[in-house]
Amino acid sequence: MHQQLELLIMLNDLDILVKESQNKNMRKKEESYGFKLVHHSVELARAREEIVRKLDKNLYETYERLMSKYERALAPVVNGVCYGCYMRLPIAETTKQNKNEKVSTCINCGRFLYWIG
Amino acid sequence: MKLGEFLTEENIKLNLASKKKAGVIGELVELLSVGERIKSMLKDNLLKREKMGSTGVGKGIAIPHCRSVLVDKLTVIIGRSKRGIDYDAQDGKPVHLLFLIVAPPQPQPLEYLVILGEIAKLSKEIVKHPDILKIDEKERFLNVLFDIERKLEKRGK
Repeated sequence: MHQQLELLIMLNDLDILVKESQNKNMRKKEESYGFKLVHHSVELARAREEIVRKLDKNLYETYERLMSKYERALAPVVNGVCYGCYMRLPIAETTKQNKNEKVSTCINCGRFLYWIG
Repeated sequence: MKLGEFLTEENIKLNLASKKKAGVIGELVELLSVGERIKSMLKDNLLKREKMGSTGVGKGIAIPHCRSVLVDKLTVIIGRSKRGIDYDAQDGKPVHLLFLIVAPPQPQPLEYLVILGEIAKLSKEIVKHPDILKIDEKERFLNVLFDIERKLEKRGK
């Protein structure tokens, strides 16, 4: 997997984790199951800084723009479909080899893509 | 939700070797059917979730969980340690039974939370069956688990 794509995935998963833990309804649900959540983790803030430091500046800017527009900046592709906007991707894209060896985006919604399978 | 939809004998490790949180999460992630790099990233993600608050919910149970774009289906892995794990649990007691859940971002978070809730509910019932810590055969272990689940359903809990 492309190193920058790995960083984008790590950043996106981390941001969603923090965002969801701050969402009132989701937090309430988790707490009702017996989980206790902190409001802020210094360690996670540091982990995020570390990821951003290694990430290409242009990619980070695109990431931030996508995050302000959508809930997630990155979408999995399952069976040739972008799971961000649910549009089928062109065959020329889906038949390529080693698709996760570069950073690609959905031609419809612009989200970064992670190809599953 | 039925645990049987997610669990097979391949998803169970009854004799966890590690005594620490990071070690056991690593052991459980090893059972996932994904590549080595993905396993490492998922382990990292699960440990980050632990920084938001320990998933050791008490009474010897932990439910480490995360959602990631790296997986395309919800998977549950069960681990057990007879000796107990230093897990920084909410009650400070060692953890003996772990339900690890990894799920994709879709479908909606609510569905993932429902499954998480079902397992949390089940785990509270399991603590009433300490014999489950002694079983050495995966098949029997699973049957006891499904039996507890059925009883829980019958009671409408």
